[in-house]
This record gives sequence, structure tokens and C-alpha cells, in this order.
Amino acid sequence: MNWPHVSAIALLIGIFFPFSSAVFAEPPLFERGVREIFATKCLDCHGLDKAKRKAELDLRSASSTLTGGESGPAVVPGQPDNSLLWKMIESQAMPPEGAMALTDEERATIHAWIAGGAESDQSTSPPDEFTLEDRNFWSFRPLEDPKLPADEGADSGLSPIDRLIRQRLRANGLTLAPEADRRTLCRRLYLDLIGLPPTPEEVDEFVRDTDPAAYVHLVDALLSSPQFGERWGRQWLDVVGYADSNGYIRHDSPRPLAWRYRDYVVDSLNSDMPYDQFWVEQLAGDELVGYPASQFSAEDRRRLTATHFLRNAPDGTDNTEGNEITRTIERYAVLESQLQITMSAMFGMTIDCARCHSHKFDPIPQRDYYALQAVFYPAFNVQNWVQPKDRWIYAAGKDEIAAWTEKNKLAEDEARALQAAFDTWLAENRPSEDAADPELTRRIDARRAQLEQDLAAVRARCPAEPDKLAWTTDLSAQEPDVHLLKRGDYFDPGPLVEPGPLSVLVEPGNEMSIEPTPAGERTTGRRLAFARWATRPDSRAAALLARVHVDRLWHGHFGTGLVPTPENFGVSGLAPTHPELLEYLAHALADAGWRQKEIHRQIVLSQTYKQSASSPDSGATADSETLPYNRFPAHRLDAEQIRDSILSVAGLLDLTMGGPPIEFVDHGNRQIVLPAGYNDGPHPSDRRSLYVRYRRSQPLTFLQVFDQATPDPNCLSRGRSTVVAQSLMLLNGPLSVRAARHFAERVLRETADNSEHKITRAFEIALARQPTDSELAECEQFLKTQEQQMVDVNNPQAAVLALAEFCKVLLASNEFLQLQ
Amino acid sequence: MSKFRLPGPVPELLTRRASLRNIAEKTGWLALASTICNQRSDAACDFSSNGRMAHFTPPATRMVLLFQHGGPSQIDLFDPKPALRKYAGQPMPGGVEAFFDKQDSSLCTPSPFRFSQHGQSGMEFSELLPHLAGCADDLTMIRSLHTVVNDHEGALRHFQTGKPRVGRPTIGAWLTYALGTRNANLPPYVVLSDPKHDQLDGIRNWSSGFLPPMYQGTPLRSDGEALFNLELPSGVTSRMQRENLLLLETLNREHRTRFSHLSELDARIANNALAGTIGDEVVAAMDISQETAATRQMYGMEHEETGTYSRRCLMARRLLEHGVRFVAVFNDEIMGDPWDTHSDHNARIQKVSRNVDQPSAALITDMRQRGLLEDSIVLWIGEFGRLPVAQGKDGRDHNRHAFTALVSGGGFRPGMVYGSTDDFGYRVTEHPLSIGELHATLLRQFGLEHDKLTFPHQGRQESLTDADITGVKPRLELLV
Repeated sequence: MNWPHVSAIALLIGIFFPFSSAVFAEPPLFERGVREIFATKCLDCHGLDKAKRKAELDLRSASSTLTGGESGPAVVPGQPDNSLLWKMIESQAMPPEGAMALTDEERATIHAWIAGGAESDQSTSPPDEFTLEDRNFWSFRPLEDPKLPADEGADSGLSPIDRLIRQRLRANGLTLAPEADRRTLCRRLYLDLIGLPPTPEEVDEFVRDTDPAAYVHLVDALLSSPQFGERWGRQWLDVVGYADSNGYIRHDSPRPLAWRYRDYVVDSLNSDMPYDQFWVEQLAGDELVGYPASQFSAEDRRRLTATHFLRNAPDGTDNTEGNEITRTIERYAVLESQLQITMSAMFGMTIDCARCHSHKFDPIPQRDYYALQAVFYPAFNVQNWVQPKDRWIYAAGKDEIAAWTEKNKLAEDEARALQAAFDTWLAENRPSEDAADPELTRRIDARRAQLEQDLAAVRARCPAEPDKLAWTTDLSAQEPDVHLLKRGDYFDPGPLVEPGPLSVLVEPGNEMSIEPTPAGERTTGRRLAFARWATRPDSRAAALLARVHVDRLWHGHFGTGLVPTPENFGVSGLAPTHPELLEYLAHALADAGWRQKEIHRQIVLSQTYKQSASSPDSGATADSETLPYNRFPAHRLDAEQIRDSILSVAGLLDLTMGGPPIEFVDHGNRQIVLPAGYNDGPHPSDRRSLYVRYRRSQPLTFLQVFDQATPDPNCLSRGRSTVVAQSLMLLNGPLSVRAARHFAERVLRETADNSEHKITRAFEIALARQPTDSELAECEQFLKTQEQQMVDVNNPQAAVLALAEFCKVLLASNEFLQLQ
Repeated sequence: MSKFRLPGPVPELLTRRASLRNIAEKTGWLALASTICNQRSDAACDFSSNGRMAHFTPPATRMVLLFQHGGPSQIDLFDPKPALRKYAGQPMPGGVEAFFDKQDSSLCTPSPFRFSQHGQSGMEFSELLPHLAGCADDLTMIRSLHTVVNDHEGALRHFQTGKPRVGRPTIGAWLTYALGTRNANLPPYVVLSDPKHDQLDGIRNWSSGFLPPMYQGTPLRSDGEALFNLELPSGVTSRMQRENLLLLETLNREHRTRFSHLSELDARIANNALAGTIGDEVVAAMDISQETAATRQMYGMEHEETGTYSRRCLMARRLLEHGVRFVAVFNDEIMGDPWDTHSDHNARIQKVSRNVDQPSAALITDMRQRGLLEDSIVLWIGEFGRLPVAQGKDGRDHNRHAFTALVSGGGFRPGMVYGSTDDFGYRVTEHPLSIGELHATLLRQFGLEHDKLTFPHQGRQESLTDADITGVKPRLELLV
């Protein structure tokens, strides 16, 4: 250090400022002198209003000033010359041109405060980063006991959901609609709970069941059906951005093991795993297991598979090209997408803006973004990257792997010995080149055949390679340095950041504390600490977690959520249309030990759900913005429900569960189809849509046209478009044509050969009802006309084909495509 | 003005927009067509409000994008650099930012192609583009474009959507969202790409991102069936299909009476009807057999080298005439992305030029002759340029710091060369133009204020140019 130089500057300052520190008898406290100066001259840009805050610097308190902004601490106590704040003031860079300048006296006070150690009055608590308003925003509050309206009047005995809905309806002069007829209810329950339509027999059974509890029985049966997990698992896969390919880069390389996570989701929903546990496993299953261990249980396997959740973000780093800059950008992109998925799926929060600056609307300081990034950074360390293709392990304990390796080695040795013995024998018995020796040739062939047989026997004794599973874990127990990035610039690191959660949700009793991990384990414990923080009973974090999820479930049942902006539970989102109901359901989820089926059950058992969907004669709608729930809100089925229903009605659907995805065929020009052709019978690809391989660059055209989720990086609510491609697909596409033919054959098999019966049967299969008289007349006329047209062109199968055309029209009808 | 620059959330406005979004999602462009045909959609009226733009007739109502995948080499095509010869074989002073690592041997390599002046404006073109050179007086040449990233996908998305990230709408989607359709029977945003090839980043090149899906580009095939599932299944005659549609409509109308509150059902009924007729309209619009032999010759269709790109250029003109708002033409695959000449640069760029030059020029000439340039824009652009140094033996690597684009029509100043680069063609030295500024300028020509054309998404008012962060403005010097 060049001392004379420094003292020269000090001297200059001394001359420049007649009021040096020495003037003050004792150094000022922040609260006595400095705060007032900042308040009048600085807080416009460095105050409470995060939207206006510059350089992330908050000068409202001594502690926030010491913490500093994106360039690090603003003040080094006792060293004004090393304090950024003073340097900016001294060089007159601050306050900026055009703003009110500091007086010499004010500058001297600030200088003296820093020189004196930047003390503050400990008795006054520093102003919170958040206002009370921030903390008590509806979605950030702890769960409140819902205030349920009294269960009174003529229609008492209503469930809490119905009482809350009825209260709102009454306020708008509306009432609950009458219950839908039983056929409609039956179809609604099947499609909603398991994603498939009921067979006519199932409808009949329910309609004829006179037991008052018949509806409850049906609900419970469907909730216990394995198809329940397939239908609702799909919703979860949207939310977490599941895909069978890595995306992002032209290669869009496969994720050959992702399906195990898809099956984990289906199984977890079917077994009604508590929602809090579901999150802990997905965020930190590896930290629960302590892999690698000697033994490997089914539970270990489940928990490790769960961590594939963290791998759902697009990750093109298997194929990164280019230079260090590109590599860094692409690695960060993975980390960022993963964080976006996690925060939106858990909390309905968009935190991406906070990557570059504190969130303009929500109480999310930029520091939070990097604190959260630090939670996941040990697993996705940009400096020490692991490509997705290398993120897998054997689903086996150390003992099993060692045994397999050992046996494998023995077998290899044995095989090598056999081969060597043969080679030696062959060398000794090599036929001469000029004289053919048929006897020797025969012996060689026999020996070779024996060798193949022996080798096959050795291979057969060798145990199969253990299963592989794709997972996520920290790369080391050592804690990496994570920096805040100034303005989000990857190459401009700011101060170091400690791992932490969303700070607006932190409260006494729920801070994120990281337990030391057992020796020998390779994780930092950060993710487990975060998961525990997020799911702590009765905490603000858990309250938001519950609100977001019950809204999602409501959305799944009614086609619209209670929060109009499911991707945004923050300040710039829209408030819930039925806040008390949302609060009630969130409470109910926590009270049910986080078991989701209880919420599904309460919803579908409510009168609100059981209402008729058709328009009441009055046609009254209180407010077009908000669903009044004075009828069941009819809505179009989603892409998977449509395809699965078509296959089911045609009698083609194969209900095999799980396993590697079904492969599609690319016909070029973005026509991605399944391999079954127009004229094929039942085909191995006729499985539920959930199992079709989702390659980001090649989405199945049928599903895409009906608004399948596009995981870029995830999808919190799908669009519901109406485009002509849908009509063309249903009228002329290979699936419709093939399914319609099988549907027609099914009708012919199941009913007498008379057009009225055929039409009725087709209605029952597709729509769970019988045709009206006028519909019947129209359809009979249609069959006659179509048949005649085919006879006219000498088609020998005119009758069957006419019926197939009719079936195709039913499958394209709005009623078939709609949940009502 | 300040009404749209929200300092904080304004719930009423947000609610109103959310409801507009709902309307948009529930009805297709075809169903909406009767209300938005030939006029701005409700959404656009909302954003370019109160006749703000009514003081002048927008110079552009439709656009063709001739997208040049791979990064055309500006110094071999548009931006002559005689000074580079002095440095031939020497390392680049100050070095270059290359996309690929380990280019220690990167030495300055001048273009071997001759440049000359063309038209009354004297605009310079290299010998590789004789036909485009012939359009010099119809073109604005921008030599000072620069972009933010050096990888194809990022730069493609930055051009198409304003940012290198995934999930955002393309400029075609924004224009369609703002201005709606001009022909109820055709998609407003059509994509024509090499039918035998999926170009890089595939469907993201015409994605509607967070805008409702109806605003995404519709790929029409330039060979065979233009739209999938247009063809009737075997055994179904058109008379039978009419019967099918009739029964479908009968059933749907009956169903509709029970759900009088669901207007989306009308949209589906309308789409079914349209499914019966759209085939004729699309086929008519795409049918280049209607063109004279002379026209087809002008586009170079008899030359094998122009591949299917020539057909797509001609189809683009026909589609504009039939009322399509935005046609995105992508070029032929030639050893991958055609302009991405990391090796064998000199030979490949000649081949690609022969593929692209004549049809691109023909489109511009044809449109001028038919008066279409008066209210249409043609933009010829790639995602970035190429370096003045060699890559390996005989290639050129990506250059994000400077590249050239051509614009024609729509009120852009014809015959003007805008901006310039250093002696190497490596960096912009005069009038740098960012992609955001180009976007803002293009939107302006459609009568749209880029900072008002917004859509609520995940808590933000998103826009193409993100003006509140980027601060970009239209570049008026480019305009007449």
C-alpha cells in the first residue's frame, strides 16, 4: 500500500471539507443526522419503493446501507475512503446531476458517520425490508380459520364448499342450479376423475343403484382407480414441465429415463402421498436416502426417482457447442428454468424478474433470487457442470452393485477363457490352405457351435444389469460460492449470497436452517432445509403452498381456478374470486394431513359440483369476469381426455400402465403421428396419451392441436383454443377415421341390426345418453342417405361404412368434446 | 400515454385485459374473422387507443419475411471490405469473439468476390447476388445490425421474439394479435418452410409464446397437401362429407340450445363449417399453376438450383394477395442451415446464393410491379453475420457484432444504404441498429406503437421490444 499517496488524498479531503470528522465531539449515529439526510436527498432512488430503487441499494437503515446493493456493501465502517458510498459522494457522482445536491455540512456528517464506525442506535429496530402490507398480502398470510356461513334454512346440511358458494350466490340474487341428471353426473365423474368416459353398463349400474350413497360409492371407487393417477398426474406433469427430451438445442436429445419420474407421479397420486411429503421427496429425495448405501429399498428407489423433478427444465448441455460464454449461458439457463419451475409450481410466484433487479411488484428482492439459486446451485454448479446424460445411477445398493460387478467379471473371465481355449485349438487344427478337409471343417464347425453354446450359458448365468434411474444430487458436500449477478449479467458477479428461501415468507419459528449432513454423504443439505422450510406446519410458506395447490385442484375439476392468474399469486396477479373458499380448501388440505384425495372428494361431493351445467332459463350471469357457480361450468375436454376417450369409445384403448414411452412417427413437415394407420386394428400405441413420448421439438400433432401443454419451461394453465385444424383432425384425421370404424363395429357387435338400436347404442357409448326423438330421426335419415351414396358408388360395405361416418360425427360433436 | 406505463398494478385494467385474453382464447381467428377482418382486433384497438395512430395511414398492412437461416456473410454479399486485403493472412488486430473455441489460427481472410455498384443509388452488391443487385433501387440496405448472442438458437429467438429465451411470441404473432386477419378463410400468419427439412429451432420460429395459440404461424406445405387432414379419407366423397357436416351442425345446434352461455360453441360450429371450405381457399391461394410461364421463369423455377425456395417465394406473393397478413418464408436446407458456412465457405456461399438470389429478387420485383410493395414489407434477414477471419481451413464463424439485412416496401427508404462497419466488417462504426430498434420500426410502419402493444403475462405487461428495459425507439432515418 502506498501510504504517502493515501495520506495525500486524506489531506486533500481535509482541505476540501472544512468540516472534517474532528469537528464532531462524538461520531453521529445513523438515526441522529444521517437518516434525515438520506431521507431528503437519497430515498427517491434508494428507498422503500423497489420499483424505483437503483443499484439495489436501500439507504433506509444503517443495516441496509451496510449490506449495500448490487456492487456489494456501500460502507466499510471506519473507512470512508474504502466505502463505495463515500466514493460516490466524494466524486460528486451522487446524488446524480439534476437531483438535489448535498450540502458541505451534510457531506461532512456522512463522512463522520462512516469514519466513526457507521454506528446505529441499536434500540430502534431497523425498518423491515418488507412493509406490513407486503407481509400480509392475501397469499403471503398464514392460513386463517375460514369463517363459514351458518348452515341454516330450508336447505341445511350443505357442505362448507356449498355454504360458501351459496353465500356468494345469494348476495348476487342467484341460487344453486338443480342437480344434473344421473347419466350426466356419471359421465362427468368418470371423465373428471379418471379421464375416460363410462361404458353404457357403468352408466346403467349407477342410474339403477337406488342406494342413497350410490354417488359417494362411485366417487370412492373412481378415486381408488389406478386411472385416477394417470388423469391427475398429467396435470402435475404440466406444472413441473415434464418432457422426454432435453430440448433447447437443435439436438433435443432424449431423456431415456424420464418416464420413471412420470410413473413416480402417477403412483404417488394413486397412493395419495401427502402433498408436503411429495414436495420433500421431489426437492431432496436424495438427501433423505443418503445414497450410496449398502442396501437399496423400494422406498429409496422412489425417493431418488422423485429428484428427477429438478431435471425437468430444458437442458441442452449434452450438446453445447461454441465457446465458454455459450457454455456458461446455457448452464445458467438450466438453473434459471429449474428455479422458475420450482417457484411457480410451489408458490405460484414468478421470480424471474428478480434475476436482474428486485421485483417491481412483488416483495422479492434481487438477493432472494440468488439465495434461492444458492439452494440448488450445489446440484447445478455452473463451474463444475454435469451433463444430463451423466446424471444417473444404478437403482441398487452398493452390495448389489458389487455383487453384479463381481459376477459379471467372473463371467467375463470365464467367457474369455472359453474363447482363448477355442482359439488355441483352432490354431493347432487350422486347415491347410490348399487341400480341403471336409472332416476338419465339420469338426471346427462343431467346436464353434459348442463355444457359442457355452458362451450363451455363461451369459445366462450372469445377472442382469441393475436398473438405471435419472436423478439429481449435489455434486459435493462442499459449499460452492454463489454470487448475486449484477443486472443478471453472468460475467459481472456481485457480493456472495447465502442460501435462503423467499424472505417475505420467513417468520419467527420458520427460518431455513441447514442441518449438517452426515459424514460421507455428498450433499450440502440445502435442498432438504428448503423443503422443510416450505412445508413447515402452520407456516406462511406452507399456507401459500396449500393455496396454490387447492386452486390447481379446483381448476382441474371446474376448468377454471379460484385465482384467475394461477401463474401469479403475487401482487400483480389477480385476487381469488372466492377468497374464503380458497382459504377453506387450503385449510382442509392441511387438516387432512396434506392428502389430496380428501380435497378431490370434498369438491366432487359438493352440490356446487353436482349442479346441472346447462343454462338456466333466466340465463342470469352476475358478472362475466367471475364464474358465479350457479351451474357447473361446462368446458372442453383437454387434449389427452379427447384422444383417450376416442380410443376408449372405439374399444381400442389399452390400459397398460407405466413404462418407457410410446414412440411416434414423424411424417415430416411437423406432422407427428402414432404408427397405427387408417386401416389398422388394435395397436400397441393405443395407450393413454400420458404415455406418448413427449419430445419438445416433435409434439404429437393431435395433442398439440388441442392445446397440450408446451413445457417452456412449464405450463400452469393451458390455453383452450378453437381452430380449424381441430375440425379437420376430427373429420379427416387417421385417428378419427380408424376409431370411428372400430366404434361402428362395436355398435354392430353390441346391438340388434336395426338403425334405431344402432343409433341409440352409439349415443350411449359416446355420450352416456339416449338420443332425443328429433335426433334419432335426423340420424336415421343420415344413415339412409350415406348408405345410398355408397351403394351408388358400388361400395359393398355401404351399411357399415355409413355407420362409421355417423360414429365419426358423434366423436367430432361438441357434446362429446365437452364436460357437462 | 401514462395510462399504459403502469407504475404498479392497476387491477381494473388487468382484469379487462385478462378478459380480452379469455375472449381471444375461446375463439379462433377464423371464427373471429367476421369481427376483425380488415380492421384491428379489439385487442389492438385497446393498445393503439383513441385514434393515436389515425393521423396517418400505416404504410404497411402485410409482410413477407425471407428468413435466411445460418447467418449470411455480410462481407461476401453486401458490405465490401477492400481494406481487409491489407490484413490478409494476419491475425485480426484486437482479436475476434468467435463462437467456436480454439481459433488461435484465425487469420484475416478477405472476400474473393467482386463488388460493384447498382441502380441509380449505386448500392454495392457482390457478384454472388446479381438479381438482388437489380433491385437496388427498391431496397434499403442496413449494414449496421447487431445482435446479442452468437449461437443460432439464441440469435434466432432474439430476432423472432425480441429475446434469446424460449417461450415468447414472434413478431408475426404480435402483428397478427394486433391487427387480426384480412381473410376469414385463411390463416393470418402462414409459414412456408422447406417441406423436407425441419430448420433449426423448429416450431419456435413461429410460436405464439404466451399469446393465445390462435396467433401462432400455420405451416402450409409447399408440396402436396397444403394443410394436414384437408384431404378426405378414402371412401368419403365430397357429397358424403357435406352430409357429415350437416349432421354435425344439426347435433351441435341442438346441443348449443342447452348451453346458451357458451359462445365458444359457436366458434366450434363455425370452424367445422370452415373445415368444409378452407381446402378450396388454401388450395386456390397456393396454386401456382395459375401463374404464367413468364412469372414462374422470373422466380427461377426452371432452375434446379433455386430448389423449392422459388416456389415458396411465389406462394408468398399469392398468399399476401389472398389476404394473409404475415408470411414467413424459410430457405432450403443446403448441408444443414444454408448460410452456416463453418467450412468450405466460398463454395457453399455460391451455392446458397444461387438458391436464394433470383427468387428473392423476383418476389420484390413482382410485388413492385403489382403495386403490393406500397403496403407490404419484405424483409431479408438472417440471425447474425460472419467473421472476417477464417475458421479452420476454409470456413467462417458467427459474428453477432455486425450483419446486413435488406428491407423493401412499407415506407422504408428505397435505395439507401444505412450504417457502416469497420475496415473488417467486424463491428458497427456508424448508426448501430439493434434488433429491438428494427422491431420497433417495423411495428411503427404497421401503425403500432411498440411500447403500447403489450400482453399481460406472469405479472408483467410483456411486449416485443420490452421498451421499459431496453429503451428502444423506431429508427426514423430508415423511413421515407
